[in-house]
Amino acid sequence: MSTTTTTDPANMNTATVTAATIDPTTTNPSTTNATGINAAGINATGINATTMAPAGLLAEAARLKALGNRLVTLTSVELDETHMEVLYHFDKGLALTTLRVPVEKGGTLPSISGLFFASFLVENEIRDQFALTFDGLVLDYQGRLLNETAHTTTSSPFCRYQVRRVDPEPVPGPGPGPETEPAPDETEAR
Amino acid sequence: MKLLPTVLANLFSRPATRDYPSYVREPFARTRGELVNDISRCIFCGTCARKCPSQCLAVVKDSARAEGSWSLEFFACVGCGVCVEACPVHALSQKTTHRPVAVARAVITLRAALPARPAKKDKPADNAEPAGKDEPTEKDEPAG
Amino acid sequence: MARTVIPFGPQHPVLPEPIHLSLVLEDERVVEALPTLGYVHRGLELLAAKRDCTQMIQIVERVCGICSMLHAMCYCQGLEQMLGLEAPRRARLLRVVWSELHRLHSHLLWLGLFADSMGFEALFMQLWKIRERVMDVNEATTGNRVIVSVNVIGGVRADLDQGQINWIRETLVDVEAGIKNLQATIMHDPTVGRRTRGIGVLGREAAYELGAAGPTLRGSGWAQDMRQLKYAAFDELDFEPVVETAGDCWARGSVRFRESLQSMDLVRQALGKLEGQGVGGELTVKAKAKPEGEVLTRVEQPRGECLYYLKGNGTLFLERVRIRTPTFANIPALTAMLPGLDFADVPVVVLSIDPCISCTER
Repeated sequence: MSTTTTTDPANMNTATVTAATIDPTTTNPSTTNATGINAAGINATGINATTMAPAGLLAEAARLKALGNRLVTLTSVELDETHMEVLYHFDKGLALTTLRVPVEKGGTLPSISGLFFASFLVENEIRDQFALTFDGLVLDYQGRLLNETAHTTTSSPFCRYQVRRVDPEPVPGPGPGPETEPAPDETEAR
Repeated sequence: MKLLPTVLANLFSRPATRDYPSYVREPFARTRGELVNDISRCIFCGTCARKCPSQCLAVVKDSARAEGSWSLEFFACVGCGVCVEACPVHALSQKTTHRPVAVARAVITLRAALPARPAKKDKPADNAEPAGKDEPTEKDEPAG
Repeated sequence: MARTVIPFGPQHPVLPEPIHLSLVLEDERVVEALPTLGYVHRGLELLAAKRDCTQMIQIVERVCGICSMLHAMCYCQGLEQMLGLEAPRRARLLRVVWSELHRLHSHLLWLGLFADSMGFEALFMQLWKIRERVMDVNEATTGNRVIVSVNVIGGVRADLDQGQINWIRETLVDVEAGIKNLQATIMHDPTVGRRTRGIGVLGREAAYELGAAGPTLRGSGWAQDMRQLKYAAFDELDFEPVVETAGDCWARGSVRFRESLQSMDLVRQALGKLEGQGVGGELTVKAKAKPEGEVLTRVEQPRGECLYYLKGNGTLFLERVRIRTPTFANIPALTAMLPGLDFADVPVVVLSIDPCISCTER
C-alpha cells in the first residue's frame, strides 16, 4: 500500500469540493457519491479528506486549531488484514475538514489530546475497539474504558481481522476474559 | 410559589391519568402492535425473514411434502412493520393492540400447505432488490 | 486536605442511563472528575456487518430512544447522499415534523428530569403530563410512541392527512399553553434559580475548545446549530439558533426551554407547507444502486450535533458505520465543568448537559 505523505494546504477548510476519496485498497475511486447533492445541501458529499502520515499529524492538528477549528471526532476504519486508517474530523463554522491517517493494525499514533482535550474519550474508545495505541494521551484508560476486565493486549473486537500483539510479560487477569468475537462472515449477502 | 395556581387547579380537576385497567383507551388506528400472519395466504417466499431487522422470522419451504412453515420469535420482534410492508401477498398485518405478557420465551410456528403454483403471477422480487425498496408492489395478487 | 473518592453512578436518580463518574472530593468540593463508560455498550456499529443497509435503519434508531428518529434520519440522509438520491419534498417536510416533535418531547423530558434533579417533583410531573400529548401524536401518526420508525432510504413511509394535521395543530395549542403556564416556574422561580444560576459555568472559549455540542454549546454563547446546514426541509423554514450567554445550568435550561417553543413553531411551519402541497404525492424515491463510497452527514439532535460516517463497498452491507453522538462530545466538557463545584450541585450539573449515555456508548 502506498501512503501519500504530502499535505495539501490549499485544500484545507473548503467545504464545497466534491473530490473522490483517495482509498488505496479499492481499484476504482468511487464517483457515485459526487452526484445528488440535495437542493440546498451543504453537508459534505463525498469526503474532502487529505491523507497524511502520522508523523505530520500533530503539526497539522495544531495548525487547524490555530485557525479556529474544533475537533468533531475520530473515525477508525479497518481496511484489510493489516491496514487501517483513522479519519480526523474538524469543524469550523459548519465546514468540515477531514484528515486521513493510514496506520498499521496494532500500531501507534500520536495523541492529539494535548491540543484537543476532547479527543481523549474517542482515542481511548478506539484503543478498546481496534487495538490501536495513542502516544501521549492525557487521560489513558489503558484499554479499560469500556470493559474493565478486558485483555487489553489482544482485544480488538471491532476488527474483522483480529489484532494479535505479543506482550513481553504475561498479563495477570481473571482467566480468559471476554475474548474477541469470531470474524463475521462477510459474504452473507442475501 | 409560582406553581401554586397550577397546583390548585390540579387539586380541583379530574386526574390526569386513566384508571387502567378499568378503563382502556381505544388504540389509535395506526398503532403497530402484535404481528399476525394469515397463513392461508402465505406463499412462504421468505421475504419477511430476509427483511426483518431483528432476524426473528424463519420461513421454511418443504417442497417434498408441499408444506411450509413460518415461525416468529416474538420476544425478539420489535414491531417495526418492515415485514408487513415487504410481504408481496399482504398476508402479514399488525393488530392495534400489543401482545399480552408472556411468561416464557417461545416461538410461534404456523404451518400450511404450499400454495399450488399458478403461472408466473406470484413471483416476488426478493434477492434482486436494490437497497431501499421497502414498499409492497400493488399489482401482486394473493396466491391461491 | 484529605481527598475522598466518591462514585457517582452508574445508578443515580438523575441519570437516565448509567455512567460512572469518580469524583475526587476535598471536603465537599469536587477537585476532579473521571468518567467511566461501558455500562450500555451494545456494539451497534459492528452490527452493520451483519445487517444490510436497510435493516440498519431499525438498528440505528435504537442507538437512542429519545432522539431515535433523528438517528434514522441522519443515517438515511447519508445513504441518500451516497446513492445520489434526493428525497421528495413532502418526505423532507414530514421528516421535519417528526424530528421537531422528537426534539419537543426530548426537551420536555429533560425539563422534567431537571426539575426532578432539584427535587421539584410537582414540576416534573406537570411537564411529563404535557409530554404525553406529544407521545400520543407520535403514536397516532406513526404507529409507535417512542421509536417511530418512519424513515426509509429515499423518504418516509407514513403520511399525514388533513385530519391528522388539524389534530396535531390542536394538540400543539394545548402543549404550548401548558408549557407557557409553567414558564414562570421554570425560568423565574427563585428556588430554581438558586440551584441553577451561576452553577456549572462553562466559559465561552472552553465550550468551543472542548468540542461541546448542542445546548451545552449554545448556552455558552455560540450560535451554532446543525439545522443551519439546511438538511431535510430546513431550507424552506424560518430558523435561527437559540443562544444564551451565561454558560451556567440555567442558561442551558433556558436554551432547551426556548427550543421547545421554537420546535412547535417549526412544526407549524412545516404543517402549513404540507397543507399547501396537498395530500398524496411521492413519499420515497427508489434506490437504483448499491451503496459505495464514503459520506459524512450531520443533523442536530436534541442534545447537539450528531455526525455519521458511512462507508459502502458496493454490497448491501455497509463497510463502516461510525456514529458520533452529541453526548460523546459533551462528556469532556462535563469533566471540565465539575471541578470547583459543591458536591450537592453535581447531579444538577451532570443533568444539565442532557446525558444520553446509550447514545454515547452505542
